[in-house]
Amino acid sequence: MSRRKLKLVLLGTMVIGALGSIAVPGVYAVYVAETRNTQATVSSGTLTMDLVVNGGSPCYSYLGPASPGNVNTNCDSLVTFSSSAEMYPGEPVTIPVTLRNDGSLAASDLAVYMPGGCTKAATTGASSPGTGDPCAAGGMQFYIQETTASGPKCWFPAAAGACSFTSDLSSFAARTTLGLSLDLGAGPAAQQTRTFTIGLQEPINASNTLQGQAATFALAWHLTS
Amino acid sequence: MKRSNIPHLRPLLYLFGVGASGTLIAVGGTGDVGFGPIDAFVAVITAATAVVTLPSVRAWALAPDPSEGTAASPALNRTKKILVLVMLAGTVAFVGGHGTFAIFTAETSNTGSSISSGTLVLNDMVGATSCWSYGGATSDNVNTGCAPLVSPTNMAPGVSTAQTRLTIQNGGSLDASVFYLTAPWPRATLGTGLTLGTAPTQLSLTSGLTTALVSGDQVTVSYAGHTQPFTVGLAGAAIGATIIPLSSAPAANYSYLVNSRVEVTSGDTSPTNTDCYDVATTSGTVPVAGATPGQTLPFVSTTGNPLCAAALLWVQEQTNGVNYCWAGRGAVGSPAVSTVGQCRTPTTAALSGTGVVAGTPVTTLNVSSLTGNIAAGDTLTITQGTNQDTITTNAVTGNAYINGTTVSINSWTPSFSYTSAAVVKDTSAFNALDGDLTDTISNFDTLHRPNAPVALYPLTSNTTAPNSAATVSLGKYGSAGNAGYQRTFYVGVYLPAWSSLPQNQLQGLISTFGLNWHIQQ
Repeated sequence: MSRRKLKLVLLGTMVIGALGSIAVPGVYAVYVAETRNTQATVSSGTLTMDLVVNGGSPCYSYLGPASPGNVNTNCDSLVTFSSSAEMYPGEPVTIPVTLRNDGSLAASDLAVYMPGGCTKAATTGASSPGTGDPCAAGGMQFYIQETTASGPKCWFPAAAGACSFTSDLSSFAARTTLGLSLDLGAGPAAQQTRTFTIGLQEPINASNTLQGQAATFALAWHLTS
Repeated sequence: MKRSNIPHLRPLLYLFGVGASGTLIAVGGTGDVGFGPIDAFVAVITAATAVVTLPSVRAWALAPDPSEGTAASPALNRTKKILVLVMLAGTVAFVGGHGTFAIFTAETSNTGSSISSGTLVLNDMVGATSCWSYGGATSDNVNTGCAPLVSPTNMAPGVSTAQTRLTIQNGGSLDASVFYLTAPWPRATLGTGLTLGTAPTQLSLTSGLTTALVSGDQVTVSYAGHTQPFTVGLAGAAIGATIIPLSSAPAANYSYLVNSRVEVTSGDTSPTNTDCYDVATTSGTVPVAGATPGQTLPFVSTTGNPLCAAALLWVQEQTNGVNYCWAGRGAVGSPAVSTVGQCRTPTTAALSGTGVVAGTPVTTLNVSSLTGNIAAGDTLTITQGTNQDTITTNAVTGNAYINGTTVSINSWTPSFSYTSAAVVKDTSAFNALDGDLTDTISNFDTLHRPNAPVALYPLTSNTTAPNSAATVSLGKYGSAGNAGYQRTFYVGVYLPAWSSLPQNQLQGLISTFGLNWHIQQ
């Protein structure tokens, strides 16, 4: 082999080597395998309720303001007194309240409280209102009774069977927050209802000082999942 | 031509005939040259040549041809004929029988050599349901359709949890040196194929996007091992859109078929663009017929995927009795890293057997197979009806793991004879999880997107870090050990109860998410 041919062969070998050293690092593809567990889902339930006062229209919890949400403070009043519906001593007023769990979750607890307590005011149009306070001790009497499958159950004042007017509104008015609320036990299951009766009465021996006086209060019903 | 003019013709012809015949026999004997039609022809010619060398035939061959004109020319013509015949024989022998013409030969053959490639395939077993990586729709050893891990419905904060046992197997013949877990990219599937060499102006999807895209976002289309990135155009795309406009897209580098994988590779950066996404329940999907669906609730919004950002996720491995928390509360990077291989799980259990007897001290709780972990020093409550006692697990020996059946406790004298109907609750675990805003599905997605995987090194012990120096993380099929061909994981979710934060905004939502399991040679 001539020297010229030998040089050509060696040059060719060097070129191949250089190409190899440059090209090989890019050739490290490897086998891979992959699986995906897709479509796993986490689904939260709903807990909403509606309140029907005295056979009226349902008032849905979720139709209140967006914030804080699921709190509706605009449901029907328990009772609105007018000149034709004034209360007299010893004449009770009872208001049926039906509470329905419209959500998908069972309520682990139902509680009721009186946000803001009780506020007295002279009855609108009263010519000479008394100086008494229906929200104070000795004032308006109050109870909460539930109708259950096994008969009436008195939640406030706590007693077996049906309620009687043995407690004042003032006693309950101290329950102004959820923390001070009256625990009504496990709430209704999803799509179930509980029925209560709110009783109000001027004491049969009410003082004349309660004439021309009105009590304003609200009841808040609270479900917990 | 006279006989004396060709004194060497006879021995030449004779030797040639014998030599040629012998060669043919020898070659045929080696088996190297097949004895086909050409070889037969050669043999015939050779034999004829040999025959020519016989005296009578030779006489004929050398006798004058009556038809030939001169004394010299007939002999010459016959000689030419013979020589032509010999040349033909030589030519045919060269062409048709060019094998080995040595008499003594030796040869060996390494036959049946082959090159065989190994396999690397992954089996994703949720319970007993196998899902092979090669079974995917995109024909690239990536199967995005494996069974959902969990699907709890009607979850309530502080109460609901779900957990699934998952076995990952290497079903191939090659060891996997890399085994990792990631969140997937937000994804979709191609509804209209792309044509090789044609630049698409948009990507048409089979179903709506689960995350919004803005101009400049990156999406990748993949099928059968081919991948091509594209840039989202100026108009972007809203959640639910089935068209992704593209910006100055290059020509497709492959004819991507319908159902090709479309992945948003600029996703998984915040809860708003994770693989996990929320939708509100409807009247058709609310878990209780007639119940208020999330869609109705004005205080519920899917913006920011709030349920994804609230639900806690854990991935606990338990292979060959060794435990490790890869994701969730207890994993590296979580607020409370476990040193005993435990994810914090919302664990409840029932007493096994006949329970405990009031007044008789107990130091070991026998429980039904645990569905979660219990840590040393935890406070447990045991409740049956209105009866409740508080128990503390042993500070040293009190660690119990998924599938365990005993819990070592400090001496406890039951106030009531609790039976198997009693519920044992790890209140320490629940309290820890209820205050956890970190170990959520959303955070897993953003921390462990495909380019930031959790490397699943082989386990060593409950108290020692996994072996990051191991060269095999998921061995070939049939191999044993902590880096053997199969490893077992428990994946769970829990909706925590936030004691001081409102949670109504989490009502009526469905979070959908996935996990990627990836091995590499």
